[in-house]
Amino acid sequence: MNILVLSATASAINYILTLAEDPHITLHLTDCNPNSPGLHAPGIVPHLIPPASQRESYRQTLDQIIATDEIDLLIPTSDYDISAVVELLQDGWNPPVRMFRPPVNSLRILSDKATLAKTMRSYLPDHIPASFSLDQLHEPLLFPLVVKPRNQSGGKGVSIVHDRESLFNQVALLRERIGDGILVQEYIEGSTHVVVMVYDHEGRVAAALPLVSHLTFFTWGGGRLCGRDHGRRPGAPSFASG
Amino acid sequence: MNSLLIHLLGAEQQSAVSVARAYPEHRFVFFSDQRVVDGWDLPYVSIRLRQPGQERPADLAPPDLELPLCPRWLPHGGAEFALSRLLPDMVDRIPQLQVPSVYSKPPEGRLCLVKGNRFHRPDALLSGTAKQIQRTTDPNGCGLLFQDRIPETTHTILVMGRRIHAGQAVLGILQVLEERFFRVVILQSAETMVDPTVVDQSLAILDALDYRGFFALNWIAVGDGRRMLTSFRPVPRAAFGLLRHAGADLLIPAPGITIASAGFRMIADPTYTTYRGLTP
Repeated sequence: MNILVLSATASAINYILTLAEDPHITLHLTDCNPNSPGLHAPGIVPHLIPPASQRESYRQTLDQIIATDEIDLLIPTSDYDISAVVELLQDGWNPPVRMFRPPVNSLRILSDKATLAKTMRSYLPDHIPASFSLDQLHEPLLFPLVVKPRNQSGGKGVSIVHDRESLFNQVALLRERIGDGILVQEYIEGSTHVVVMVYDHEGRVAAALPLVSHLTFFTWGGGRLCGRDHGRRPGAPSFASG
Repeated sequence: MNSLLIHLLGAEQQSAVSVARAYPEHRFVFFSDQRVVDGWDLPYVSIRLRQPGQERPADLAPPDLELPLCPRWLPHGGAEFALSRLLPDMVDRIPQLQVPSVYSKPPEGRLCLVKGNRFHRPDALLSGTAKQIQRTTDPNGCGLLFQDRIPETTHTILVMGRRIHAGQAVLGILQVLEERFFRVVILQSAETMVDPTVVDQSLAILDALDYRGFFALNWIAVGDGRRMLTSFRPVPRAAFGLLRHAGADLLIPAPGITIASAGFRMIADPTYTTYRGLTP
């Protein structure tokens, strides 16, 4: 089987560790950065491609790889690749491969933290932190609060504010950088737990893995978790170097 | 060659695993005050919790080499090498040296970078106007420094090495291809290169300080061919294996001045390892 994983930087390490040595699989990885670590991993076939933002040349290059290397399965992993692939699908792209084809509306909810929080709070009002729009900031608020960009990942621009002055300072700072796409949320004290869930096309959970974080930090490819799965073997992503 | 016992202080830095992987014939003890560090998969490495300034645990033999990887572990938290003092001092002593101006507060009308004065500010790189960066906080106590951002910068050059004394030093001149600034700085990709100006001026700085030990100097190459020194840290970076492959042995330095051969490239390798959290 020929598997094509888009982005060799973010969660590609998972696919490399799991699939690269499987004799029945040829693992192809793409990235627009020639220094992406995954492109240099042993046992994979690297492909340097245009950035996802160059949508047309990106699509043409993927089509070429899919045809030339007889790709069976396509897995976009980075935020950029997922957005680009879903929008290409929305525009009628139909590569002859197996892949998740999520509806563009789902992506739009998932990629906007404010919309996601609002949607999820309607189902889980006791488990989703309260969110506030910029129009609500002059109303009585309970501190601390979290200020974050609505559509960025990897902890970029996220801060905890403890009083109204800090709140307005941080909102002003973010506004200069990203405009009004800002979310203010209730701060919840405690540790971080992450649940990785895979759904099939009918919306059924195919796999779920709960993790508890010992340390969450931010590095290339966004947030990195040093944690362990509940009740099973410990494992932590880490970095070695030349 | 005998196996050395090497103690690494501040082993949460990427350079800890770098030196350990580059020299598997030696034994290492990693010390860190952070709960989660890398290196648990290396059989010749042991890892201990320790605070900067704390005595070596009594059950451990004295090391052949004790190597701080972060200035926090130096006496007085590395204050001797604070950029606010060191950079202007070097300009006074080496007339041909160029450095971007540094300030204790961001000046109006200039684009500045926010830097840790004594060690890397453990966060993403910040830059902007005075209004954008004047409220930057210092929760980790690195001290803040504001440095002119040079928009004509074409690339960053890292000079990493070790100076034993006048006339004996090992240097690697690396073009930084990818570098990530977060809780720690991650050197993602670099390639050894030739740059006589940077070599001459780096040696002049080390001689002016009569510096002895491991070091990392950051230079920027500016469009018109100039080189500007942007930082000096009295600790190594994560390129031990690269430099060893390029003929520059930092642990057993050759006599004289050794410069790593050009054209050797590294790309950092993300790994998964089982670990134990460091708790008191």
